[in-house]
Amino acid sequence: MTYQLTAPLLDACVLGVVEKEDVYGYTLTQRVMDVVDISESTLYPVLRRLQKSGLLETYDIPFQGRNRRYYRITPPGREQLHFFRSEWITYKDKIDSLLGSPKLITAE
Amino acid sequence: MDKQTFLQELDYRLRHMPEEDKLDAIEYYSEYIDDLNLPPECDICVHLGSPKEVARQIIADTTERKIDEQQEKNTTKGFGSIIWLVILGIFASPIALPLAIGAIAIIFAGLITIGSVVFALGVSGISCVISGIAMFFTGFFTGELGLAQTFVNFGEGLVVLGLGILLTILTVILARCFVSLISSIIKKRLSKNKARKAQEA
Repeated sequence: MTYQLTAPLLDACVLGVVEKEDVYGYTLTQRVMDVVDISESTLYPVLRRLQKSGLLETYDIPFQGRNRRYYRITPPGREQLHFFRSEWITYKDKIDSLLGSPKLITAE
Repeated sequence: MDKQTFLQELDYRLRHMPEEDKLDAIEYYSEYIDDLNLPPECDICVHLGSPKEVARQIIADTTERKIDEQQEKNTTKGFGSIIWLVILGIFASPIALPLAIGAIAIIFAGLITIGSVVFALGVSGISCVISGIAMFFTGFFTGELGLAQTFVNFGEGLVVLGLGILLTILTVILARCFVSLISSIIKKRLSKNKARKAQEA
């Protein structure tokens, strides 16, 4: 990947995935790894941080004689996600205005 | 590395973290390793990196979070724990770094010590030469001294002058040894590095 994923963007992506459905560490990591270039140990600190700041909460479900810890988005988490989304669109539009989108280039 | 070894080492590396943070991390990785569903002979580190790397990420992130909390609260309470975490972070970083800093400091101190001894010898040599010459000539310029005293001054001047010349020569020899010592150390280092790089390649 040419462009680096910054910490807030990674937070935003994790919140986005968890908003769709509750996930546990492994599936979340695989889902994010399918799209962006991160290592398998990248997300634990992110999840912990989001949990500590009250944007995510956890609950355990027994699975094959052990627990699986699921992550769920909280109302403040949803709010933060909305903020992240609008920030992303602003940022994307600004960069597009400098960079030019592929459509604009072919139209000329 | 198998699961148990991995978690034990992670536990050890996080031993100075708050108990709650440590347990949470261990639980998460224990679960994650189970979910990886690897055949027993597979190395977990291929997936997760070494326990050291994992611990480093956790410590770094906890430190950042604590600093942020601190800035929000704007108090100095808990400042000690931040310093503690930063120190932990340094030790969790590749161990070569702090060790290298220490080794370089020791070598540097040693070189400065030897250098200043040589410098001091040189200074005393040169001052002996100067004072020797000065003593030698006082015999001529002060007429009030008797003949005997003038000869004594001549003699003393020559002795000190000779001593000074010897000291200066000694200094030059020592300085040469010193320089060749340093250059041989540097050359050895360089050739070792080259050999290592050649091996890696």
